[in-house]
Amino acid sequence: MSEASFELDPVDPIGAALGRRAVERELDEREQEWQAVARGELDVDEAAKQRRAAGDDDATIERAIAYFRPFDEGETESLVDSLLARVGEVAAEHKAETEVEPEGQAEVVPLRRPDPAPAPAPEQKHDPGSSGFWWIPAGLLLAAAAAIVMWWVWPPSAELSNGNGQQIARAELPAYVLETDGGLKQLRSDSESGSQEPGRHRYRRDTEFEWILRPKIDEPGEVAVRGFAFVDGSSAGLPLAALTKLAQIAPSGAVRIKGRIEQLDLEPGRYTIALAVGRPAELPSDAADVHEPAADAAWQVRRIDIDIEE
Amino acid sequence: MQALVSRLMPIIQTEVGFALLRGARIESRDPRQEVRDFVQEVFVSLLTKGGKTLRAWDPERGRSLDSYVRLIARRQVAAILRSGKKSPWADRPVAGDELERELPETHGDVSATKLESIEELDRVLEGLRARLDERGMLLFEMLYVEERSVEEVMAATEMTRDAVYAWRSRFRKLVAKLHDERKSA
Repeated sequence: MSEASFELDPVDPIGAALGRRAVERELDEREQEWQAVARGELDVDEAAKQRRAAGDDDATIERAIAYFRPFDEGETESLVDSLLARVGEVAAEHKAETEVEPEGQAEVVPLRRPDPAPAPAPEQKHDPGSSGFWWIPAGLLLAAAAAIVMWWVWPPSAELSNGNGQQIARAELPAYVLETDGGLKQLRSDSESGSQEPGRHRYRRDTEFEWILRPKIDEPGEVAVRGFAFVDGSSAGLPLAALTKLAQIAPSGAVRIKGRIEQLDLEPGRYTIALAVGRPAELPSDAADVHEPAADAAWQVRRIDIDIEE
Repeated sequence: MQALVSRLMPIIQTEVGFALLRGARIESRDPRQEVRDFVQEVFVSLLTKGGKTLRAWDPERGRSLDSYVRLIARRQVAAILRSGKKSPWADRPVAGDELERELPETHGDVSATKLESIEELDRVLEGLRARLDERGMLLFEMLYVEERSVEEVMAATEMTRDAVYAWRSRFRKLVAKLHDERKSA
């Protein structure tokens, strides 16, 4: 597979939205039972029973069992060994490639290099064409590879250190309340005719707005906010990248979001704005996570229904 | 490595499993061996070249780790399965003539926010499935579902860069047309 770009074409948001929806529909059509089996949450036999009751034929069920039954210990070990062998060989080639590149143009190299081994025993032989890690005892190589990979995926969080290298416990986030400006004051005629729904905030594009997420007790730790806009009645959400620039964080942990409605880059319409507040590294990235947050989510979401007029 | 495999295995095995279950399998192979092989290839694609692909994940770009790995798995499985098929359009003209003839001269652009309701997106998707030919659906899949680069699409479809860009432009016009048709219905 050639080098892939993971950046969407910045001028093609429509295609991106359609692509995302196509993926969502395909995910929705998947049999939940087999997904649960792959996650280890449902027994294979129970899944087969449920799929049989749903009308699947035996041949399909048998194939699905083969595909989704979780890897056992032996299969997992075999996979890990194969990966270490293949990744180790490729890492050696990658190391050789990066060493010949001119200074300043080298690719990022592994974050830790294995410590030099003591001089090998006289009878130890090696094949120059073999892995660059041949001189490292297998156990140390496994540990080094695991440490490097773990660092890549889960870099140490700055929140856990007080700057002196000491680990500190992360306090649970206090409850946040959302205070708003109430939107444009409704006219007497609006309230009499009932045209303004209670609980909805009315704005025009040039209206100033101010929303404050305030902790019930002061929160001195690092917090951040991320916003999503859901078109009225829809579960498809838009990330509000512009909202981050409008947010200010006070030392107490209060978050003030202030600006003009047009700075949110939303067309006139009806929206539910979901504001997720939490530790920066723990904030949700997907609108779907905010639409239906998990019970144990590390962040909190507060919502406001708004109508944006021309 | 064990911890990494345990963490990512359910996502990768799920993607591989459904791709194989939807009919894309080699009849002579043991299904369990098939899923083992495909899962291994996905992990290798994540970890090769110093883990470049896995390290490219950036939550600031809007994807969770699970969503990102799911995308990589989908791409890798699709690439492997495609490599086993002969391209049905290798001998056909590169330009999407049949698509171009359908479109009138002028169509306004459609902003993403106007198409964000699920209903609208679904209607346009159904319209695309009815209007796009096999190659068109492949280009849609590669560019917008798998989020491939233009270079990858060129390599897979043997199209020139200009041809891919031209198709993309016609695709946007078709989406605008489908949206307008719905509004006037």
